[in-house]
Amino acid sequence: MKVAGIPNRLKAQLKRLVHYKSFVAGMVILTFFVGLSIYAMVTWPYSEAVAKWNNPAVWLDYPKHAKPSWITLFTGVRELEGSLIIDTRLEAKNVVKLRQVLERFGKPFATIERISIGFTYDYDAFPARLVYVVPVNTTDRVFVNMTWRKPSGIEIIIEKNFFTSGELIRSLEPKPGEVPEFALRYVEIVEKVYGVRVNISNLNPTYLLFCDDEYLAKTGALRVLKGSYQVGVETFSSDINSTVDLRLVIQGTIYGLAGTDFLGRDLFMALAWGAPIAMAFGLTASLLSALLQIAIAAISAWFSGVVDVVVQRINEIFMVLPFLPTIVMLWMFYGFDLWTLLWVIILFNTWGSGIKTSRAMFLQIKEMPYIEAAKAYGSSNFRIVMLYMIPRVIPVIIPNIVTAIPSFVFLEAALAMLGIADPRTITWGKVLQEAYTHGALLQGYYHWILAPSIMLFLMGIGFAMIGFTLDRVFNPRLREI
Amino acid sequence: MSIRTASVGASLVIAIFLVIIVANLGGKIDEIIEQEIRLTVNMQLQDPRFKSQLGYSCETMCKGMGVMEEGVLKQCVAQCMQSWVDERTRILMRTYGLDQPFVLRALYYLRDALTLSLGRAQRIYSDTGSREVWAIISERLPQTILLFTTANVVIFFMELFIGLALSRKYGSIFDKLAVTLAPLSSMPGWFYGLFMILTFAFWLKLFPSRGMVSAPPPEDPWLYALDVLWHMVLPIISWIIAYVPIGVYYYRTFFLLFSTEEYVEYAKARGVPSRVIERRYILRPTLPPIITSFALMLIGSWMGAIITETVFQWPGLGMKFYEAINFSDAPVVIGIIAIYAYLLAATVIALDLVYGILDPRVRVGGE
Repeated sequence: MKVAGIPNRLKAQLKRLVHYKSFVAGMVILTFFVGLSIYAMVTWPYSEAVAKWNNPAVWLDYPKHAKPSWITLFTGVRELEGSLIIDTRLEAKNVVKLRQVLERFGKPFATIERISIGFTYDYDAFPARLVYVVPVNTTDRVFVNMTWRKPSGIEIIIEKNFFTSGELIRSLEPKPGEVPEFALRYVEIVEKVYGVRVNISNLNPTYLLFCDDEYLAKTGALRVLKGSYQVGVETFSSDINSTVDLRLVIQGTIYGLAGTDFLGRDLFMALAWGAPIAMAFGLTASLLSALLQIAIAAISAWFSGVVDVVVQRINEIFMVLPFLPTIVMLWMFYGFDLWTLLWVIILFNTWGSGIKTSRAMFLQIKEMPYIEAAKAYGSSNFRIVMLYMIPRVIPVIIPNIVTAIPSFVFLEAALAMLGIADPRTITWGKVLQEAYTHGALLQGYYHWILAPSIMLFLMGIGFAMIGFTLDRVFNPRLREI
Repeated sequence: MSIRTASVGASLVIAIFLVIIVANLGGKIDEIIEQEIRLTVNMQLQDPRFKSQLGYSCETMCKGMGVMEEGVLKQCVAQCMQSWVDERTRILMRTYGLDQPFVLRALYYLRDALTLSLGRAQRIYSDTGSREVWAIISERLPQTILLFTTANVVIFFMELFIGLALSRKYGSIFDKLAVTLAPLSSMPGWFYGLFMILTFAFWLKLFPSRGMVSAPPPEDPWLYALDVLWHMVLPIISWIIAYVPIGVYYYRTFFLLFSTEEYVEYAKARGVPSRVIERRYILRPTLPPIITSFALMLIGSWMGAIITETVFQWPGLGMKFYEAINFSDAPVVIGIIAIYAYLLAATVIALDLVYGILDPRVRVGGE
């Protein structure tokens, strides 16, 4: 029986595949992506991942634009990974709190509170930025005096202000044309101590708090001053019940395996979750459009007559419709999520020049003697199309399906680049688009653009290698040469 | 031939009609047209002479109704003018046939789209400040055609000649290299564009990262042309990396298969020089599929170039399309679809013609 022979032949062909280096390399890449997908799905279940990724509040304390942490292996520079967070509400280590209620005529009328935090900073690179929050639980006016004491002994008053209720939040980051008040005070202190007036315009204010003053005065350049720092907060409030705390967030310059983006989101999470989404998207689109295509082409070629004419006319309509602009129009008028987009793409890919090629192939097969024989013993149309004609082209289309998978992943990425994307799902294309539109190329955040690019590149190469080898093994057109 | 043209023409009409139906199901086109009519009416009101005239007649009417008080009169005049705008819009909508049923309206839109009277953009302008969709498209099309035709011609000849050369040296180290490099083509041109910009524009600073000419553009026409060429280098290179490897692989296999045909073997046996064999026995019979794939690639590139143009900020139709998407400018998007549909239909017809000229076995016309 012929049917029994097929699995054996398939087995033999699969064995031959292993001898191709490109196939093995492709399988290694594929295994890597499958592993990554499993890791992603186990670590963050889908709904949790989507909710976390799209909630900027989760990522507030993470460093923004941080590089991947393994980069220090090459540079040899010790950098702060992630953020150093010190919250007086949560920990008591290295924290000193003093509270004093002032009395007048035997009655309490005001409180003075002093908090002091100590921490050690011994990295070679500056932190990216410093954020401090002073939460107060009173509605009265509060006077805050905050000091920053460097290991060198220099003390800078960084906050000297009244504020009413809630929280005092400051984020020290470079703003063009804007110099914070404390920076001017710092320049005066340096001038008093070293007799040099330093130029601090266009500097990240966070750097001033961590730099070596002597080095700055002598060379005009910045260097990290390692050692233990002291931050003090002194508040004065007329509310006798008021309490004060301090939260310091020192954001580093490196984070995790892939770094972070402009919101501080961990790019590794997007890279990991991008893998299953890309594979599911690419595989479904490629497989379904190929199967629908050959089914339609086989029916059209077998039945000929009216069916064939109708199929050919419909096909011509799709050939005349420009693919990308039409999808863009549909998206503009109706808007859709990732999986609806998938169906639209399948619809447009099924029809078109592919059907023409498959139809030509089936027209040849239709004339073959074994089909003639099937007709002669009276097998049904369905049987001939499904069991005799379509299996005949399977070896031709399997390599094509595999090779086409990345092209759908890239199509999704291309649409994302145009801004046509499901706002909630996490795909590599969306990360790439965000990096591109937020000027990652111009501002030198190369990791942000490279991370999704390398993923896309690997996926493209991996599937292409497997597909090309399959094509060589299944369709040995050149074997006899 | 005429039958074929008619059939493709019919497909074109149906395709555009479908686009219009789909677009109009969301009520989008009606909205666009109504907005445009309101704009025209308001433009009329911008004419100070006309406005004072209308204001005067409204005032007379209000006074005639017995309104004398200053504030109330003002209100009455404003109301009267607004009702004039509404009335005028209604009349114009009727003249345009917008009060008619959906199917009829769709037919009117179809007529407009087929005659390429594409109307006005909602939000974006052409560089010359015009709002005509036709002006927006036509001023950008040449730049797109310039870049991508050049790229495709370069790619086409590279593929063809490298493929031909490799088919002669089957199994050599270059041949194996070509097979190994083929998977590079699983990535699109714009993707390599990002790497090209990163490496050659930002790191090595050899080529510009964006645009078509430097600012300010050189005045001498020769220098200007050189400057444009200089800006074309990176996009073309990224397309070469993306599309040449697979093309070379394809043509090499293709020519190899043809060179084992019996008539080629016979020519070889007769001692026909290999150059002649290549030209007359291999290239000539393989021309139809080669031309087909070139034409399809060319037309395809004008459409698929949207993202490449956006990445390189090349001021072509693709970038305008990107702008239209970002501003959700429906008339421009529909206009671009109509133009591309025409281009595609023309290619389908032209391909049939070319086949007939190059391959006498195909009889065009009588099927």
